[in-house]
Amino acid sequence: MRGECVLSDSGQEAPRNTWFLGWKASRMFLIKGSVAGGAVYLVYDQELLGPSDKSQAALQKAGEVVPPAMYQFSQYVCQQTGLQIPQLPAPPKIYFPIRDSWNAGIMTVMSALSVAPSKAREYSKEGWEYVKARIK
Amino acid sequence: MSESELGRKWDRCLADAVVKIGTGFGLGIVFSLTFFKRRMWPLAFGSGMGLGMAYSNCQHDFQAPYLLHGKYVKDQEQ
Repeated sequence: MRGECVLSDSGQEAPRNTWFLGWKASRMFLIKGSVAGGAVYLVYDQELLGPSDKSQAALQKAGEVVPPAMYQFSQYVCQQTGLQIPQLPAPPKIYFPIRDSWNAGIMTVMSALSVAPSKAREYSKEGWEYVKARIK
Repeated sequence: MSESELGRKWDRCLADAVVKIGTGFGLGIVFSLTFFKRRMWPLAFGSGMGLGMAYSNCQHDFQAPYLLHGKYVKDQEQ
């Protein structure tokens, strides 16, 4: 029966069930602690939370390593399962110079603002001349 | 600071931000799954820490040319 106490030779109660649960919980804690500690050590070893140049180098290294690894993994899955994973087309290379567009936009807006008073005066003068000609 | 150097600094800042936020998020996932019963706050905490560290690095990187480094010189008694 569960929770049954077994008397040892000395006559004291030896709860077998709680000892087993304690060992199981400690084993689970050890596994979780190992996983968390391994993750923290990996971050420390790769200096991911360090200076910015180390992080940039790590990102560049990941960009070089991950696509071939993904390709090899997909090839392995194809060989093992027989499934044909469709090849994704290459992403289109879009060249859009944001800085040039922004600078051109700023210059256009500022030049329009600078000539706005003189243009407004000119248009209002023309409009007044038109109205005067129509009235005559 | 020249345009090219400024561009390089911005690139470094963005790469650093991506790495640090991702690392913080990843560590948050690990700790959330192992110790904190799949709660959401470790993820937010880790991502926020990574963002803050990246911001601090970027700020120091951009202010570095304008920071003056001095040292104390003791008066030598003659």
